[in-house]
Amino acid sequence: MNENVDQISAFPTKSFFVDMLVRDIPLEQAVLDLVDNCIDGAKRLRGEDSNDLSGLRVEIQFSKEKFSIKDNCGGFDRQTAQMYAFRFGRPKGFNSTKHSIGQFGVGMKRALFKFGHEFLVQSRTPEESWAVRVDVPEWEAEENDWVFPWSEYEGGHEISDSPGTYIEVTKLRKGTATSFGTKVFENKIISSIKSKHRQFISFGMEIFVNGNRVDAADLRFFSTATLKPVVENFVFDEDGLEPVRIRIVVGISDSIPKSAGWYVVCNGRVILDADRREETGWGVIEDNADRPSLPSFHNQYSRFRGIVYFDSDDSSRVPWNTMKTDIDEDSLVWQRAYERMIVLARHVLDFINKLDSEIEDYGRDKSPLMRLIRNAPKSSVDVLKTDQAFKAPDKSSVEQAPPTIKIQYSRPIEEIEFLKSALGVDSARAVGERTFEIVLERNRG
Amino acid sequence: MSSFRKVNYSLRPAKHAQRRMVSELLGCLYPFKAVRDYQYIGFGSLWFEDFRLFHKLLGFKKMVSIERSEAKDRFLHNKPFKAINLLFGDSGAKLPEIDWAKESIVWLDFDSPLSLETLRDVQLISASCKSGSCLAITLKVDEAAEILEAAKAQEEIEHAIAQFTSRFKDYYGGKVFSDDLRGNPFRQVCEEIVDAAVEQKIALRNTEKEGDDVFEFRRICRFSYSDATPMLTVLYVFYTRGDQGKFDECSFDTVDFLPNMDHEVKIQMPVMTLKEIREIEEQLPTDNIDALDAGYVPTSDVKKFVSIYRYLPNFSVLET
Repeated sequence: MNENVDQISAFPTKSFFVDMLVRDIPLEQAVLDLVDNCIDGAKRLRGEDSNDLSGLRVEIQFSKEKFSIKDNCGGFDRQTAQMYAFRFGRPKGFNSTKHSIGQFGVGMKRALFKFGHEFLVQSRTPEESWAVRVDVPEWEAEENDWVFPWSEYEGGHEISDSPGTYIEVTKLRKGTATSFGTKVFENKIISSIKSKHRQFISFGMEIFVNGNRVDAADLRFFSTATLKPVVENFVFDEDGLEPVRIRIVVGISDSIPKSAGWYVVCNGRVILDADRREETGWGVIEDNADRPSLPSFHNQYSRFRGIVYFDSDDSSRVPWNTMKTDIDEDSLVWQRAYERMIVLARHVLDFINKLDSEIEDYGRDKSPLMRLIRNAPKSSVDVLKTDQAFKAPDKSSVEQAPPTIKIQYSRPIEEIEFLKSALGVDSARAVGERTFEIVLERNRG
Repeated sequence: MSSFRKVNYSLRPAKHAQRRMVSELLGCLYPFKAVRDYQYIGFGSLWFEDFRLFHKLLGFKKMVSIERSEAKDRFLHNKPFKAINLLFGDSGAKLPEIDWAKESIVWLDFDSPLSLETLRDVQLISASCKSGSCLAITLKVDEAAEILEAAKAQEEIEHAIAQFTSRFKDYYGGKVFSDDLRGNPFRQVCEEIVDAAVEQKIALRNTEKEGDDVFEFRRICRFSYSDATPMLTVLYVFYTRGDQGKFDECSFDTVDFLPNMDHEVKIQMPVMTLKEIREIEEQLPTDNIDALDAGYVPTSDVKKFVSIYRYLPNFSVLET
């Protein structure tokens, strides 16, 4: 470096750069970034709109000592490695995979530096093969030399004869090794891939984590002639920019609080999972009262499911943040979708409120709406593609139960326990109902 | 509801045998520290059975019983020894109040199925206990709580599976099938989940540790028994690498019922009369079960009896 006394050098040191790069990314997210790269390979190989990823496979292995990921997704060539994969940031004019999910040009490097102090990346395409092996402390010591040297391609890691990529990280950082050695981390990776890469797995891609095959978590809606989720498709167009296709599906499913909320999917990658924050419209905050919103989330809404898909050939157009862990609220695409999400969700929440009050009135087992839902078949969101309005049964369309009034009273626990045992039932509610039935029967004679 | 309202503790022979077996294992901890100087933390309930036994057999002088019932006076009235300190409240709230700088033996003797709260207790102890400490956790393993919840809400089994998965997915990586939530498969799922929870906390604890300070944990054994409901007890010992020699010296696998570490000890009660018990006991111990004169007792019951007779309560008939 030129030690010119007349000026101050702002040239970054490599170790500063590496530390900044890895600081804010959770370990789990870094693993997912590498899977995203494999999926982009699959998209290049099969075509960006292909729904058939069968035969393509990603194998991830990690332990206290080592991390590795390999795929048979076509590999990438020396030029891509030179121009993109090992550059920090994407050079202007570089043509990346259309409809890609690994769009920020930092994922792979960030993951490698985050994991450990030595890495090997090697890839084979039908035409060529190459490898890069880096000892990070040595590389950091060469302050002025911002290059990664080619090294000899070593075979023996291929999944099959098909071209693909192999990445290995050793000399793991201490914190990384700690996590990689636990079952809980393995389970977290499995469940993250299950939810975040759901769509690609359902297209036939196989992903293995430490030998365990990851299956897809299916998102399903109750769907019958009288109860249908709403499906709405539209395109967001801005002059001169790639259009973004948006699909919103909102409906009801099983009553599971942790699964309820909004799911946001950008180019097939799930960004938000069962989101119930203000960002997706839940709860009114006073400062923002003019913004359309939904009521605060409550377990009463545990049947609510809403899914928003954003798809664009230009991946910088879909509304995700750089880590793909949240939406970019400032994006015009998001704001446009947000308005429709709120409108469509309101119909569904109205129905859920109606269902709730009916359960209050009739009891869970006697509510006609509840009975209808319990027997309803479910459809996967993957088949709900054509526009349709939300359809919910109203009271007149279902068999009416006789009107009822709820009775509520308290008695000493000891007496209730005595009656539970005497009547052979297992809840206080059942004691109440059974004693009522007995008295009714006797008095009617 | 507390289990003391459901069953009189002193009438559970398999539980009693397990307690005696655990006490034999705890006796092995002496290379770490004189066992009587350990502090014992448990859920004594109204009967304080484990406290009575351990105080008499092992000599614990510092014992803490956590009790969530609000009938404080009744518990204080039934406290058998001055050495027992009663803490009233949920274990999740009371465990953090314990002085974990002392070598501890903790028995989280739950009578309920696995829940996130029980795992939090397990993790708190894994994260806090001193080298040489021991943790036993007992869970009801007939079926998952989620099955009962689904049944109460008149939901299908799929609902229970989804609920269980959403709660425990970090600790159990496999796909959960409906038969995983009942019986033996459920017991195995519980073992795996508790193990993952312990492992996670120990790994976290080790992030900044090196060499002799690195913490290890070993599952010593698993008990399965049933007095009316199938129960599981898992026993762990925690120690630093520097204390590896002490751990090896404990030689847990030299006690009669533990052929090797992490063995599953099945406590099964034989059906025998007092006369039959006496007749067989007179011929024990023996290395050759087949040579015993067991009268009319079926061979399977003889084997069950011989494997646990030392730990069974003494039966006698008080009225006829």
